[in-house]
Amino acid sequence: MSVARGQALRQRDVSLLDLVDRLLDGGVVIHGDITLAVADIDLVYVGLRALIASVETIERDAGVSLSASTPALKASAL
Amino acid sequence: MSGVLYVYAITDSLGGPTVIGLHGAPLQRVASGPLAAVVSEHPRAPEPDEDTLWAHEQVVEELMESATILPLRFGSSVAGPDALTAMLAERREEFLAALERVRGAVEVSVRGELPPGDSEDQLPQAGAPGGPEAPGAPGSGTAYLLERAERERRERDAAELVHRPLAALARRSVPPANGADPRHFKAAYLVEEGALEAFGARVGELNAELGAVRISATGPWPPYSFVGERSP
Amino acid sequence: MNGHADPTRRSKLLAGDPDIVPVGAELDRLDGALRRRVNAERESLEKGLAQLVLTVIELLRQLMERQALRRIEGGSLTADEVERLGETFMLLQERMTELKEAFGIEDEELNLDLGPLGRLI
Repeated sequence: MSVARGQALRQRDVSLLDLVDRLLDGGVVIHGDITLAVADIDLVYVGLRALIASVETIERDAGVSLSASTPALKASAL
Repeated sequence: MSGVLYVYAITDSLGGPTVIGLHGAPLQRVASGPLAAVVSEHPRAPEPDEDTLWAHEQVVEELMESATILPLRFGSSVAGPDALTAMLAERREEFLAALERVRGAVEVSVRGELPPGDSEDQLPQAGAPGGPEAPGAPGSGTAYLLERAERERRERDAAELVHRPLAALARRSVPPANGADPRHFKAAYLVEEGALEAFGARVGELNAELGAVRISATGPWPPYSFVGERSP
Repeated sequence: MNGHADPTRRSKLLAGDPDIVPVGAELDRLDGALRRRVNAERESLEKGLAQLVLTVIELLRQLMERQALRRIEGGSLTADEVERLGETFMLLQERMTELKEAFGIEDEELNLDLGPLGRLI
Protein backbone atom coordinates (compact mmCIF):
# COMPACT_ATOMS: atom_id res chain seq x y z
CA MET A 1 0.00 0.00 0.00
CA SER A 2 1.44 3.40 -0.93
CA VAL A 3 2.21 5.89 1.83
CA ALA A 4 -0.36 8.32 0.43
CA ARG A 5 -3.10 5.72 0.38
CA GLY A 6 -2.14 4.59 3.88
CA GLN A 7 -2.40 8.15 5.11
CA ALA A 8 -5.76 8.62 3.44
CA LEU A 9 -7.08 5.55 5.26
CA ARG A 10 -5.71 6.83 8.54
CA GLN A 11 -7.49 10.15 8.05
CA ARG A 12 -10.75 8.27 7.52
CA ASP A 13 -10.07 6.09 10.60
CA VAL A 14 -9.66 9.08 12.88
CA SER A 15 -12.59 10.84 11.27
CA LEU A 16 -14.82 7.78 11.72
CA LEU A 17 -13.71 7.45 15.34
CA ASP A 18 -14.53 11.08 16.06
CA LEU A 19 -17.80 10.78 14.13
CA VAL A 20 -18.97 7.81 16.20
CA ASP A 21 -17.84 9.44 19.44
CA ARG A 22 -20.06 12.39 18.62
CA LEU A 23 -23.08 10.75 17.05
CA LEU A 24 -23.43 7.88 19.52
CA ASP A 25 -22.26 9.56 22.73
CA GLY A 26 -22.89 13.26 22.11
CA GLY A 27 -25.70 15.50 20.97
CA VAL A 28 -29.04 16.24 22.55
CA VAL A 29 -30.74 13.20 24.12
CA ILE A 30 -34.52 13.17 23.92
CA HIS A 31 -35.45 9.82 25.38
CA GLY A 32 -36.17 9.51 29.07
CA ASP A 33 -37.48 5.94 29.34
CA ILE A 34 -35.14 3.49 31.01
CA THR A 35 -34.65 0.10 29.35
CA LEU A 36 -32.37 -2.50 30.88
CA ALA A 37 -30.28 -3.35 27.87
CA VAL A 38 -26.56 -3.70 27.28
CA ALA A 39 -26.82 -1.18 24.44
CA ASP A 40 -28.21 1.76 26.43
CA ILE A 41 -25.46 1.78 29.00
CA ASP A 42 -25.42 5.54 29.45
CA LEU A 43 -28.93 5.58 30.96
CA VAL A 44 -27.80 3.41 33.83
CA TYR A 45 -25.08 5.82 34.74
CA VAL A 46 -26.93 9.12 34.61
CA GLY A 47 -28.44 8.27 37.97
CA LEU A 48 -25.12 7.16 39.34
CA ARG A 49 -23.43 10.43 38.42
CA ALA A 50 -26.08 12.36 40.34
CA LEU A 51 -25.47 10.27 43.44
CA ILE A 52 -21.73 10.52 43.68
CA ALA A 53 -20.25 13.48 45.49
CA SER A 54 -17.12 13.71 47.56
CA VAL A 55 -17.57 13.23 51.30
CA GLU A 56 -16.09 16.66 51.92
CA THR A 57 -18.62 18.29 49.56
CA ILE A 58 -21.57 16.62 51.28
CA GLU A 59 -20.25 17.43 54.76
CA ARG A 60 -19.66 21.03 53.75
CA ASP A 61 -22.99 21.52 51.96
CA ALA A 62 -25.10 19.79 54.60
CA GLY A 63 -23.10 21.20 57.50
CA VAL A 64 -22.87 17.76 59.04
CA SER A 65 -20.28 15.12 59.64
CA LEU A 66 -20.72 11.77 57.93
CA SER A 67 -19.45 8.77 59.83
CA ALA A 68 -20.13 5.09 60.24
CA SER A 69 -21.89 5.82 63.52
CA THR A 70 -24.73 7.71 61.81
CA PRO A 71 -25.85 5.38 59.00
CA ALA A 72 -29.29 6.98 58.73
CA LEU A 73 -27.75 10.38 58.07
CA LYS A 74 -25.48 8.90 55.40
CA ALA A 75 -28.40 7.34 53.55
CA SER A 76 -30.51 10.49 53.59
CA ALA A 77 -27.61 12.70 52.53
CA LEU A 78 -27.33 10.65 49.35
CA MET B 1 -49.58 6.80 11.08
CA SER B 2 -47.10 4.01 11.35
CA GLY B 3 -43.40 4.60 11.28
CA VAL B 4 -41.33 7.15 13.12
CA LEU B 5 -40.20 10.72 12.95
CA TYR B 6 -36.43 10.66 12.92
CA VAL B 7 -34.91 13.79 14.46
CA TYR B 8 -31.64 15.37 13.30
CA ALA B 9 -31.43 18.70 15.07
CA ILE B 10 -33.17 21.44 17.00
CA THR B 11 -32.99 24.98 15.69
CA ASP B 12 -34.40 28.46 16.27
CA SER B 13 -34.23 29.39 12.62
CA LEU B 14 -37.22 29.37 10.33
CA GLY B 15 -35.89 27.98 7.10
CA GLY B 16 -33.01 27.55 4.76
CA PRO B 17 -32.11 25.92 1.50
CA THR B 18 -33.70 22.55 0.80
CA VAL B 19 -31.88 19.66 2.44
CA ILE B 20 -32.66 15.99 1.81
CA GLY B 21 -32.73 13.57 4.76
CA LEU B 22 -31.69 9.94 5.16
CA HIS B 23 -32.65 7.54 2.38
CA GLY B 24 -33.85 10.44 0.26
CA ALA B 25 -36.68 11.34 2.66
CA PRO B 26 -37.66 15.04 2.65
CA LEU B 27 -36.96 17.09 5.77
CA GLN B 28 -39.80 18.66 7.72
CA ARG B 29 -39.86 21.05 10.63
CA VAL B 30 -41.95 20.49 13.75
CA ALA B 31 -42.29 23.80 15.52
CA SER B 32 -43.01 24.77 19.11
CA GLY B 33 -42.72 28.44 19.96
CA PRO B 34 -39.30 29.77 18.98
CA LEU B 35 -37.91 26.28 18.42
CA ALA B 36 -38.23 23.71 15.67
CA ALA B 37 -37.07 20.13 15.35
CA VAL B 38 -35.86 19.01 11.95
CA VAL B 39 -37.19 15.56 11.11
CA SER B 40 -37.88 13.06 8.36
CA GLU B 41 -40.39 10.21 8.26
CA HIS B 42 -39.31 6.60 8.07
CA PRO B 43 -40.92 3.18 8.53
CA ARG B 44 -38.42 2.45 11.32
CA ALA B 45 -35.48 4.16 13.04
CA PRO B 46 -32.26 3.86 11.02
CA GLU B 47 -29.52 1.44 12.13
CA PRO B 48 -26.08 2.81 13.00
CA ASP B 49 -23.82 1.45 10.27
CA GLU B 50 -20.92 3.43 8.84
CA ASP B 51 -22.74 4.68 5.73
CA THR B 52 -25.84 5.72 7.66
CA LEU B 53 -23.79 7.56 10.28
CA TRP B 54 -22.02 9.58 7.58
CA ALA B 55 -25.32 10.22 5.79
CA HIS B 56 -26.82 11.51 9.05
CA GLU B 57 -23.76 13.70 9.62
CA GLN B 58 -24.09 15.07 6.08
CA VAL B 59 -27.65 16.21 6.78
CA VAL B 60 -26.69 17.88 10.08
CA GLU B 61 -23.70 19.66 8.52
CA GLU B 62 -25.87 20.98 5.69
CA LEU B 63 -28.38 22.31 8.22
CA MET B 64 -25.53 23.94 10.11
CA GLU B 65 -24.45 25.87 7.03
CA SER B 66 -27.45 28.18 7.20
CA ALA B 67 -28.61 28.10 10.83
CA THR B 68 -27.57 27.62 14.44
CA ILE B 69 -28.49 24.07 15.41
CA LEU B 70 -28.29 21.64 18.30
CA PRO B 71 -27.39 18.26 16.81
CA LEU B 72 -29.30 15.28 18.24
CA ARG B 73 -27.74 11.98 19.19
CA PHE B 74 -27.93 9.46 16.36
CA GLY B 75 -31.02 7.27 16.53
CA SER B 76 -33.32 9.84 18.11
CA SER B 77 -36.83 9.17 16.92
CA VAL B 78 -40.35 9.76 18.18
CA ALA B 79 -43.70 8.22 17.32
CA GLY B 80 -45.27 11.48 16.16
CA PRO B 81 -45.16 15.27 16.20
CA ASP B 82 -47.14 15.62 19.46
CA ALA B 83 -44.40 13.94 21.51
CA LEU B 84 -41.92 16.25 19.87
CA THR B 85 -43.78 19.52 20.47
CA ALA B 86 -44.36 18.48 24.09
CA MET B 87 -40.64 17.86 24.56
CA LEU B 88 -39.67 21.13 22.89
CA ALA B 89 -42.07 23.06 25.11
CA GLU B 90 -40.90 21.30 28.28
CA ARG B 91 -37.20 21.90 27.59
CA ARG B 92 -37.47 25.25 25.86
CA GLU B 93 -35.19 27.17 28.25
CA GLU B 94 -32.56 24.43 28.12
CA PHE B 95 -32.50 24.43 24.31
CA LEU B 96 -32.55 28.22 23.96
CA ALA B 97 -29.59 28.48 26.33
CA ALA B 98 -27.73 25.76 24.43
CA LEU B 99 -28.32 27.56 21.11
CA GLU B 100 -26.77 30.71 22.55
CA ARG B 101 -23.82 28.71 23.84
CA VAL B 102 -22.97 27.38 20.40
CA ARG B 103 -24.08 30.16 18.06
CA GLY B 104 -21.42 31.02 15.50
CA ALA B 105 -19.07 28.27 16.62
CA VAL B 106 -18.06 24.75 15.58
CA GLU B 107 -16.55 21.80 17.36
CA VAL B 108 -13.00 20.57 16.84
CA SER B 109 -11.76 17.24 18.17
CA VAL B 110 -8.10 16.91 19.12
CA ARG B 111 -6.39 13.58 19.72
CA GLY B 112 -2.82 12.60 20.12
CA GLU B 113 0.02 10.91 21.88
CA LEU B 114 1.73 12.28 24.95
CA PRO B 115 5.22 11.22 25.97
CA PRO B 116 5.04 7.99 27.99
CA GLY B 117 5.98 8.44 31.63
CA ASP B 118 8.49 6.09 33.23
CA SER B 119 6.32 5.90 36.29
CA GLU B 120 4.85 2.46 35.55
CA ASP B 121 8.11 0.77 36.51
CA GLN B 122 8.32 2.68 39.74
CA LEU B 123 4.71 2.26 40.79
CA PRO B 124 4.64 -0.02 43.83
CA GLN B 125 2.65 -3.02 42.71
CA ALA B 126 0.40 -4.77 45.16
CA GLY B 127 1.51 -8.33 45.78
CA ALA B 128 5.12 -8.00 44.61
CA PRO B 129 7.11 -10.77 46.27
CA GLY B 130 8.79 -9.72 49.52
CA GLY B 131 10.12 -6.19 49.63
CA PRO B 132 8.70 -3.00 51.10
CA GLU B 133 6.13 -2.77 48.31
CA ALA B 134 4.01 -5.67 49.56
CA PRO B 135 0.82 -4.73 51.40
CA GLY B 136 1.33 -5.13 55.10
CA ALA B 137 4.91 -3.86 54.95
CA PRO B 138 5.31 -0.67 56.97
CA GLY B 139 4.62 2.45 54.94
CA SER B 140 3.71 0.56 51.77
CA GLY B 141 0.21 2.01 51.65
CA THR B 142 1.54 5.53 51.93
CA ALA B 143 4.19 4.86 49.29
CA TYR B 144 1.51 3.56 46.95
CA LEU B 145 -0.66 6.66 47.28
CA LEU B 146 2.26 9.06 47.05
CA GLU B 147 3.47 7.40 43.85
CA ARG B 148 -0.08 7.63 42.46
CA ALA B 149 -0.18 11.32 43.32
CA GLU B 150 3.17 11.92 41.63
CA ARG B 151 2.11 10.06 38.51
CA GLU B 152 -1.13 12.02 38.31
CA ARG B 153 0.75 15.27 38.61
CA ARG B 154 3.08 14.35 35.75
CA GLU B 155 0.18 13.28 33.55
CA ARG B 156 -1.74 16.48 34.25
CA ASP B 157 1.28 18.60 33.39
CA ALA B 158 1.82 16.88 30.06
CA ALA B 159 -1.83 17.23 29.05
CA GLU B 160 -1.87 20.87 30.13
CA LEU B 161 0.95 21.72 27.73
CA VAL B 162 -1.35 20.81 24.89
CA HIS B 163 -4.73 21.74 26.33
CA ARG B 164 -4.03 25.20 27.70
CA PRO B 165 -2.96 26.93 24.45
CA LEU B 166 -5.84 25.34 22.56
CA ALA B 167 -8.43 26.15 25.20
CA ALA B 168 -7.22 29.77 25.00
CA LEU B 169 -8.30 29.84 21.36
CA ALA B 170 -11.72 28.33 22.04
CA ARG B 171 -14.96 29.61 23.47
CA ARG B 172 -15.38 26.47 25.53
CA SER B 173 -13.66 23.13 25.83
CA VAL B 174 -14.00 19.58 27.11
CA PRO B 175 -10.57 19.00 28.67
CA PRO B 176 -8.86 15.60 28.61
CA ALA B 177 -10.35 13.34 31.28
CA ASN B 178 -8.56 13.05 34.61
CA GLY B 179 -8.49 9.30 34.81
CA ALA B 180 -7.93 8.68 31.13
CA ASP B 181 -4.95 6.80 29.72
CA PRO B 182 -2.21 9.44 29.99
CA ARG B 183 -0.62 8.43 26.71
CA HIS B 184 -3.75 9.31 24.74
CA PHE B 185 -4.81 12.93 24.60
CA LYS B 186 -8.44 13.50 23.73
CA ALA B 187 -10.27 16.79 24.02
CA ALA B 188 -12.97 18.81 22.28
CA TYR B 189 -13.06 22.55 21.63
CA LEU B 190 -15.87 24.96 20.69
CA VAL B 191 -14.20 27.35 18.26
CA GLU B 192 -15.57 30.53 16.66
CA GLU B 193 -16.06 29.96 12.95
CA GLY B 194 -13.70 32.81 12.16
CA ALA B 195 -10.99 31.39 14.43
CA LEU B 196 -11.01 27.90 12.96
CA GLU B 197 -8.04 28.41 10.68
CA ALA B 198 -5.93 29.91 13.46
CA PHE B 199 -6.87 26.98 15.70
CA GLY B 200 -5.70 24.50 13.09
CA ALA B 201 -2.48 26.44 12.70
CA ARG B 202 -1.89 26.31 16.46
CA VAL B 203 -2.29 22.53 16.40
CA GLY B 204 0.44 22.39 13.78
CA GLU B 205 2.64 24.71 15.83
CA LEU B 206 2.24 22.60 18.97
CA ASN B 207 3.34 19.56 17.04
CA ALA B 208 6.50 21.41 16.09
CA GLU B 209 7.08 23.09 19.47
CA LEU B 210 6.49 20.13 21.77
CA GLY B 211 8.68 17.45 20.23
CA ALA B 212 7.43 14.43 22.11
CA VAL B 213 3.80 15.42 21.68
CA ARG B 214 2.01 14.55 18.44
CA ILE B 215 -1.58 15.63 17.97
CA SER B 216 -4.08 15.87 15.18
CA ALA B 217 -7.40 17.68 14.90
CA THR B 218 -10.62 16.83 13.07
CA GLY B 219 -13.46 19.21 12.34
CA PRO B 220 -15.38 21.35 11.93
CA TRP B 221 -18.11 19.29 13.55
CA PRO B 222 -21.57 20.32 14.70
CA PRO B 223 -21.32 21.07 18.46
CA TYR B 224 -22.22 17.57 19.76
CA SER B 225 -20.13 17.88 22.91
CA PHE B 226 -21.48 21.27 23.96
CA VAL B 227 -25.26 20.89 23.89
CA GLY B 228 -25.99 18.91 27.03
CA GLU B 229 -27.34 20.48 30.22
CA ARG B 230 -24.14 19.65 32.07
CA SER B 231 -21.84 20.37 29.14
CA PRO B 232 -19.02 22.89 29.49
CA MET C 1 -22.96 11.61 -4.84
CA ASN C 2 -21.74 14.54 -2.85
CA GLY C 3 -20.48 15.23 0.63
CA HIS C 4 -19.95 12.27 2.97
CA ALA C 5 -22.14 10.00 0.87
CA ASP C 6 -19.03 9.56 -1.27
CA PRO C 7 -16.77 7.18 0.70
CA THR C 8 -13.68 9.00 -0.50
CA ARG C 9 -14.98 12.21 1.13
CA ARG C 10 -15.07 11.00 4.72
CA SER C 11 -12.02 12.71 6.11
CA LYS C 12 -12.60 15.50 8.61
CA LEU C 13 -8.94 16.15 9.21
CA LEU C 14 -8.29 19.79 10.09
CA ALA C 15 -4.64 19.79 11.13
CA GLY C 16 -1.82 17.59 12.37
CA ASP C 17 -0.80 14.09 11.36
CA PRO C 18 -3.45 11.38 11.83
CA ASP C 19 -0.82 8.68 11.41
CA ILE C 20 0.31 9.14 14.98
CA VAL C 21 -3.12 8.78 16.55
CA PRO C 22 -3.35 5.39 18.26
CA VAL C 23 -6.74 4.36 16.94
CA GLY C 24 -6.29 0.59 16.78
CA ALA C 25 -7.83 -0.39 20.10
CA GLU C 26 -10.56 2.22 19.81
CA LEU C 27 -11.56 1.05 16.36
CA ASP C 28 -12.03 -2.46 17.73
CA ARG C 29 -14.17 -1.06 20.50
CA LEU C 30 -16.10 1.00 17.96
CA ASP C 31 -16.81 -2.14 15.98
CA GLY C 32 -18.17 -3.73 19.13
CA ALA C 33 -20.21 -0.64 20.05
CA LEU C 34 -21.91 -0.55 16.65
CA ARG C 35 -22.72 -4.24 16.80
CA ARG C 36 -23.97 -4.01 20.38
CA ARG C 37 -26.45 -1.34 19.50
CA VAL C 38 -27.84 -3.39 16.66
CA ASN C 39 -28.35 -6.71 18.41
CA ALA C 40 -27.46 -8.03 21.86
CA GLU C 41 -27.07 -11.81 21.80
CA ARG C 42 -27.41 -13.80 24.98
CA GLU C 43 -23.69 -14.53 25.28
CA SER C 44 -22.65 -10.95 24.87
CA LEU C 45 -25.46 -10.03 27.29
CA GLU C 46 -23.97 -12.18 30.04
CA LYS C 47 -20.46 -10.95 29.45
CA GLY C 48 -21.95 -7.48 29.20
CA LEU C 49 -23.40 -7.83 32.70
CA ALA C 50 -20.04 -8.85 34.15
CA GLN C 51 -18.53 -5.91 32.28
CA LEU C 52 -21.18 -3.62 33.73
CA VAL C 53 -20.57 -4.75 37.29
CA LEU C 54 -16.78 -4.56 37.03
CA THR C 55 -17.02 -1.16 35.35
CA VAL C 56 -19.04 0.16 38.27
CA ILE C 57 -16.50 -1.23 40.72
CA GLU C 58 -13.64 0.26 38.70
CA LEU C 59 -15.46 3.60 38.53
CA LEU C 60 -15.90 3.70 42.29
CA ARG C 61 -12.33 2.53 42.92
CA GLN C 62 -10.89 5.30 40.73
CA LEU C 63 -13.19 7.95 42.20
CA MET C 64 -12.27 6.98 45.74
CA GLU C 65 -8.59 6.80 44.97
CA ARG C 66 -8.73 10.23 43.40
CA GLN C 67 -10.60 11.59 46.40
CA ALA C 68 -7.94 10.15 48.69
CA LEU C 69 -5.26 11.93 46.65
CA ARG C 70 -7.17 15.21 46.82
CA ARG C 71 -7.44 14.91 50.58
CA ILE C 72 -3.76 14.07 50.96
CA GLU C 73 -2.95 17.21 48.98
CA GLY C 74 -5.39 19.15 51.14
CA GLY C 75 -3.77 17.80 54.29
CA SER C 76 -7.01 16.61 55.86
CA LEU C 77 -5.83 13.06 56.58
CA THR C 78 -3.51 11.77 59.28
CA ALA C 79 -0.44 9.73 58.37
CA ASP C 80 -2.15 6.68 59.79
CA GLU C 81 -5.26 7.27 57.65
CA VAL C 82 -3.08 7.70 54.55
CA GLU C 83 -1.34 4.42 55.26
CA ARG C 84 -4.62 2.58 55.82
CA LEU C 85 -6.19 4.02 52.65
CA GLY C 86 -3.12 3.16 50.59
CA GLU C 87 -3.08 -0.43 51.85
CA THR C 88 -6.76 -0.80 51.01
CA PHE C 89 -6.33 0.62 47.53
CA MET C 90 -3.42 -1.69 46.82
CA LEU C 91 -5.53 -4.67 47.85
CA LEU C 92 -8.47 -3.39 45.81
CA GLN C 93 -6.27 -3.10 42.75
CA GLU C 94 -5.06 -6.65 43.29
CA ARG C 95 -8.66 -7.84 43.59
CA MET C 96 -9.73 -6.04 40.41
CA THR C 97 -6.91 -7.69 38.49
CA GLU C 98 -8.06 -11.09 39.75
CA LEU C 99 -11.68 -10.38 38.82
CA LYS C 100 -10.76 -9.15 35.35
CA GLU C 101 -8.71 -12.29 34.75
CA ALA C 102 -11.53 -14.50 36.04
CA PHE C 103 -14.03 -12.94 33.63
CA GLY C 104 -11.59 -12.63 30.77
CA ILE C 105 -12.15 -8.89 30.51
CA GLU C 106 -9.51 -6.48 29.24
CA ASP C 107 -8.93 -2.99 30.62
CA GLU C 108 -10.29 -1.31 27.49
CA GLU C 109 -13.57 -3.18 27.90
CA LEU C 110 -14.20 -1.52 31.24
CA ASN C 111 -14.20 1.88 29.63
CA LEU C 112 -17.11 4.18 30.16
CA ASP C 113 -17.98 7.57 28.77
CA LEU C 114 -19.03 9.90 31.55
CA GLY C 115 -19.86 12.79 29.22
CA PRO C 116 -18.32 16.00 30.57
CA LEU C 117 -16.22 13.93 32.96
CA GLY C 118 -14.55 12.26 30.02
CA ARG C 119 -13.80 8.59 29.68
CA LEU C 120 -13.17 6.36 32.67
CA ILE C 121 -10.05 4.73 31.28
